[in-house]
Amino acid sequence: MSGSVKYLFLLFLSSSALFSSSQKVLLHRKSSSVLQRNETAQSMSNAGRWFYTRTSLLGSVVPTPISGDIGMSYAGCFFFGNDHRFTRSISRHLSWGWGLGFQLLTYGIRQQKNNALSNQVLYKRQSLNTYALPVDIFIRQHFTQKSNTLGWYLDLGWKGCWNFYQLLVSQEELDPKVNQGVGRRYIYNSRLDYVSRWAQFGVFRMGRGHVAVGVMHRFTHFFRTSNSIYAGKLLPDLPRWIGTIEFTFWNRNKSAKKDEDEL
Amino acid sequence: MPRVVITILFVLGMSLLHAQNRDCWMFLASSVLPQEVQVVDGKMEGYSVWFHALAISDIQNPAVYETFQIDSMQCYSTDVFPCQLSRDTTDTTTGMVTESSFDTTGIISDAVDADSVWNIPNSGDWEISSSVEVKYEQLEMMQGYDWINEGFSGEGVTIAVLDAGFEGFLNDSAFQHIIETGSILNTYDFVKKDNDVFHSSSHGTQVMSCLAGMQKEDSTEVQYLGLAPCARYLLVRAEQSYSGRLVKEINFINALEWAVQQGADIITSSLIFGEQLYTRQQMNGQSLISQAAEKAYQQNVLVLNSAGNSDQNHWEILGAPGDAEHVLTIGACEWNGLKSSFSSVGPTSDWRAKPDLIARGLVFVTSNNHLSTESGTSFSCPLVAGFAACVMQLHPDWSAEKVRSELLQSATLYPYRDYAHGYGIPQAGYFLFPSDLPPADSATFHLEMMSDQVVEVVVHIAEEAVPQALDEALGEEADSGEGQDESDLLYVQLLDSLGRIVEYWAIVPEGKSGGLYDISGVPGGALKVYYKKYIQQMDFR
Repeated sequence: MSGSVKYLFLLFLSSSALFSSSQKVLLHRKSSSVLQRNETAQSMSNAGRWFYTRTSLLGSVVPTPISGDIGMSYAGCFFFGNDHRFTRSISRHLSWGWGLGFQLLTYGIRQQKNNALSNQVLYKRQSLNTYALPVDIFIRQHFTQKSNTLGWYLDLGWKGCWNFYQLLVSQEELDPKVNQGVGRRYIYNSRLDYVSRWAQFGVFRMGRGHVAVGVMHRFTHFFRTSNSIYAGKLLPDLPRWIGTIEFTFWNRNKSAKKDEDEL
Repeated sequence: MPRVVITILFVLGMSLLHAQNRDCWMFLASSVLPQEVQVVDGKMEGYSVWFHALAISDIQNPAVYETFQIDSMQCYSTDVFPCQLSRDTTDTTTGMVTESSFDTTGIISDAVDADSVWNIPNSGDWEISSSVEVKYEQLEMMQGYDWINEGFSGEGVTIAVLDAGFEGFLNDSAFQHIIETGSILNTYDFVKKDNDVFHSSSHGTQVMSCLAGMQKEDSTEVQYLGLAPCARYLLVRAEQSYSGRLVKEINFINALEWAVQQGADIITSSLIFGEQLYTRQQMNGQSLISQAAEKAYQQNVLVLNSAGNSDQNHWEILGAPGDAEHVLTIGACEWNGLKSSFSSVGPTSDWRAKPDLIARGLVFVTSNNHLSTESGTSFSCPLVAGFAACVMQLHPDWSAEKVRSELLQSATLYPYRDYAHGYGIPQAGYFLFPSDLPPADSATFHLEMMSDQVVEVVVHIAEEAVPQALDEALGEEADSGEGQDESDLLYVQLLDSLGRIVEYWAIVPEGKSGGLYDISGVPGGALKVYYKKYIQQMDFR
């Protein structure tokens, strides 16, 4: 066996540092794996200060029967949120928090003849989007002791949203032969005066560490009366329940550094 | 135009999501509500003499407390009052309960009469369900019976035990020899600020049984659960829960200060302050708790602390004050000397080697007259503390520094150490029969370079040790983790160029093969191997 072949053979065997085939390995540790870990959540040393997290929310509208002239295409419903939250301990098991963020809520509108939003035109797709800046306040029950990870928690809160922009997007199918090769057309209607500018939600979520699931329930009506649509009457409300999954992150290194500085 | 606005807002939102600099947000938060606890609304939790620090908790929020360093000592008020203990004695024939009380303060029996101690009537119902061999193992692994046979039992040594409560201690006949002889010098509860420590948790009672518990099976035979039944004790309640659910540094610091003030020779604590209070980076010996333990050591007190039971959870590493430089940090081991799966590992965050020693982690303890098995480094630590008391009895002139140093040198693996086993298990023979210590062993293995990057450990097997015999020894029993003692384990570690252990193993060799090790990851480092008292190091420089 040449030297290089022997070397390759040995290299093949060394899947880890130890490649003993028959020895009984009772203990094998790498020190680096122990020291590299670093999580800093609301441990007791952090209990007295604001704990900052940033959270991404993904979700959709919970299918709900609607009585009225707006049908929902639930496959086209989408919710995205991005919150910056601050929590602080109230007691050993309770915290309270508040947050600021941004959220996008899209309702897919099913095309039907009596669709109040489509002026009797059947589009290929249609969606009603609201862009909002939410402020939320919540109280958090901790089910596990405060430590360097968040553990199990349950949040109950209120969220107020300012819908700073509303957009109705309609996608129309065209005949390319007639329209110089253009097969589809998007129609944007913004600043919709029949959509309410303010919304309030009740928030309930349960999480463990970095992941949480929750639901939001809108207390307020999605629409407001407007002479520009539906003969001045209030449009039927859209589904009020939104299911979400949340991913929460915190800056581990900075939290740890801050703790060291304050000691 | 609307699409441009939407795109800008979306990008802005995403950029905020991934923003690494949270300072602007923290500034916003701090401007809305105050960051610090207001002292006027606070309650003083304690005052530290050593640190000149005042701990204030928020009355509205007991979970929040802050420590302020101040120059004044006017708040120091850890007065300790004489402790009145009471004990109910039940007459087994008549069923009558007699209550007796006595003052433990100041009753220091310099010459404990062992005979009078062991003849205490057995007032409890014993539930002994184990064989004698198993029961003795927690002491036998340290050669503890050599101490007992030579008449050492910690006499003349004062041990302070810091724990979460000593419920059931007074009524447990396993401790009557301590109570009867007035060996409890003093007690104090730093959580409730009074002298009653015999409530809330039986964890301290179980810890005490590993120090001083005595089991009487019949009128003559006495079984030792710990090695220091004749030591004097200071019992301190320094926390509400041994698991650190309620962590207050000031209680522990006050307890250390008090124990030193009371004249403790040894302070042993099975309280671990880790994940709930600190970050991993803070396990560098600089936390207030660790600094306090270090100050106690500087005042000639030997300080021992459990390593912790966190190796199988998120935290993994040891907790404070086990990270302090001179605190003897005690891990737990199995019957064969291998680290218990739960026992926390080192190193400290500044790469100092910890733990220092290990002892049996599955032990027999007594609590409320009930003998049971418990596991945890909480019990390994008092076992070693009792061992240290015997050393101090043998060498009363030794300083804490000297005792600590000798304890380390007495251990089974010394001078080899890793981050799981420390130096191994302390051995009484090192102190009692130094002339009997075996001479430096001849090589039990050698190292062979297989290539530039691979080293093989070749175990030397005696001629009479035929492979069949090894097969029998290592066959089914080895597969089930049984059949070897600690001398059968081969310990290997890779060190980097700074001498830090980056990877380590404990293995059972198979025949001549002690394994092949890839050294490519440690340029300029070394490979160190320990097997049956023989150590060899190969440097790659």
